[in-house]
Amino acid sequence: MKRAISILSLSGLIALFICSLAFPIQAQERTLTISPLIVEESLDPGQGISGVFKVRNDSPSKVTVSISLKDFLPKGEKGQQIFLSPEENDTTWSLADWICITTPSFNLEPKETREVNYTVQVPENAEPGGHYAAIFAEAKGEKPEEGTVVLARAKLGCLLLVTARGDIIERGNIEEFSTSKNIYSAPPVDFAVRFKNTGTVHVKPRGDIKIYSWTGRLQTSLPVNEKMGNVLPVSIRKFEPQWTPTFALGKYKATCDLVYGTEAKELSAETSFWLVPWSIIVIAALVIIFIIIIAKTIDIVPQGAKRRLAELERRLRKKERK
Amino acid sequence: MHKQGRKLIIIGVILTLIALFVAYQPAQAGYLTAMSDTMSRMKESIAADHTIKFTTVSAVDPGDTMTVIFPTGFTIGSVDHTDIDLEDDGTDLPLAATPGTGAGSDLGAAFSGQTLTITENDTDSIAAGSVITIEIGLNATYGVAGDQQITNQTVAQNNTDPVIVLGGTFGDDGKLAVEILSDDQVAVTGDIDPTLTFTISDTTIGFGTLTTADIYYATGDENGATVEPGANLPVNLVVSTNAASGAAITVQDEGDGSAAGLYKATTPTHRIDAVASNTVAAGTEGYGVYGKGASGLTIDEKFNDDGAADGPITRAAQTFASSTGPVSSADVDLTLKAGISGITPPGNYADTITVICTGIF
Repeated sequence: MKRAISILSLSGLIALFICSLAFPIQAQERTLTISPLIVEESLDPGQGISGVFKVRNDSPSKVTVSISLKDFLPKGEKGQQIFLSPEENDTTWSLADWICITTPSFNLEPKETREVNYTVQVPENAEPGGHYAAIFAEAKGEKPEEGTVVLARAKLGCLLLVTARGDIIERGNIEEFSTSKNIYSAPPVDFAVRFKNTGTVHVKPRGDIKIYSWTGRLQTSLPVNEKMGNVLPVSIRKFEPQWTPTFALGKYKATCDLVYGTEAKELSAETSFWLVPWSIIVIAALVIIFIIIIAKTIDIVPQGAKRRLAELERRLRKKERK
Repeated sequence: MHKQGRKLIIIGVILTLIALFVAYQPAQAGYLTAMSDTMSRMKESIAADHTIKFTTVSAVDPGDTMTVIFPTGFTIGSVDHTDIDLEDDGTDLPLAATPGTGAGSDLGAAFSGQTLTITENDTDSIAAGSVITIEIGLNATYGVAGDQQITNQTVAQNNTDPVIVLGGTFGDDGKLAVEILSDDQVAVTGDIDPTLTFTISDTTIGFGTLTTADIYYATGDENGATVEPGANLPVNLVVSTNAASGAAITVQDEGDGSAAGLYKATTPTHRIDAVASNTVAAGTEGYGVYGKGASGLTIDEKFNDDGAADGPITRAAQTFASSTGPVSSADVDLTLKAGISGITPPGNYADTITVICTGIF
């Protein structure tokens, strides 16, 4: 009997082991590619446009892709977004309700690409200004099984920035133009340009920072926002150019000149900073001091020659007395 | 006798004629071979360089000329010997406005109207069967660099005078057809779509069975571990984009629908709250999310697990990692850890984390 129980137990363990081998837990990789990433349009109230958003399955297996929409607002000062739930929607900037997707869900084989058509219809009574939403493509994963499990859902988003034309306000200011320090002992010099959008529509401020030495000579010009990033309404965007001169010493003045908006409005700001390479100055000073010390310690005129000179002077004075 | 005499006379005359024929062979003019004119531009009415090549049949003796006659529609302008190079079998020969005297002296090269005349000096010669290259224009770089070019004729003039004539007193000649075009350039365009590729290596990870003795890390086999998973584990997020401003990865927790955390849905329900990852401790309830092993991406301060400014994952989307420019296969590991206390209710806990990848606007 005991032997029978042992055999049964052993068989059960073996069966369990075999089952675990037969059904190992597979990693579920999901890779999607979307294009484009950002769409910018300017439309009149009542006007509509259509567009195409491509999704490709780069996963090793077939996936089910679902398309969804969410409004977004800017988050932080680096062009990132916060996506709003329907309850959080602020109709001032909302766009998701104006977008219609023709294919909300579909299957994609590996390496297959699907074009998703969408339309944006601006209502007749649309509030003029910027409106922002994202179209998401999500590759569905498996639901969590028993146990303490976490499901990770991956989504890719195409951002739509739509301007509803009308009585829009393009307005902004340079909230800050500064360097990270007043005195640098070595490059790089880190600039911060913070542009605040106080208007009702997104703009792309761009320009340059000109750096002048204490003599007024132009040293260099650094571009600001050469990537043409947007600043959304009621937000600040920070641009951080750097200056890395080969050698610089003294006080410098920097001027920031920006233009933005359809009317190319101009903004300017100034700042100054010092570049004092202390290590080089200290080394130079030490070298000079060393040279002075050496010069004072070493007799330039040899002792023998001094004695000879003294003797000649003595004889000369003697002759003069005679 | 008479017959034999006549025969002899006839034979003699024939032999004499043959001898005269063999002895006297006047110089035979030949047709140039391997002729070409390569032009830097074929478009009408614009300046262009010429590279004219041909192989002689005859020798160019001292004092002989070689001529190149351009169609009447070509404008010679002020092209002179400084804008002309002459090569004999690849060797540059010195040129001047007029030919020189003595061996190695200049050859003359000058335009008169549409005709370029190259005159051998009084001593040297160019052997028969030589490959001659004449460069006219900015491509004439031997000695003084050329700075003048010949302007092409118009397309309409192709019909009336389409031939460059080669010749000269050296005896050979040839013709080159010239085909001027209305445009010789094709605009090439191509579109490269901006794209964003995002990979999540594993969509289901688990902690296994937690105890109060340790901090547990979620793993891909769902069994959990008490040590941090290695590189590219448990979930490797990979981003590639050609967008100039780069991309951002944000994370958003589901929790129990009202707050972030690991949630037990069965009665009695319970939530292990999300906390800053560096505060997760054995024997204390806590659920932390952080990033590690970033390459090409910068992990946000809240999720870098360095004990400074770390924060919990929330139900609102937060930036997890980002790039400031285009990246190729930049990656970061999404890592989860949890701890329980002695009074944490037993059961299965679950969570859903949404990982969103977008461009930077």
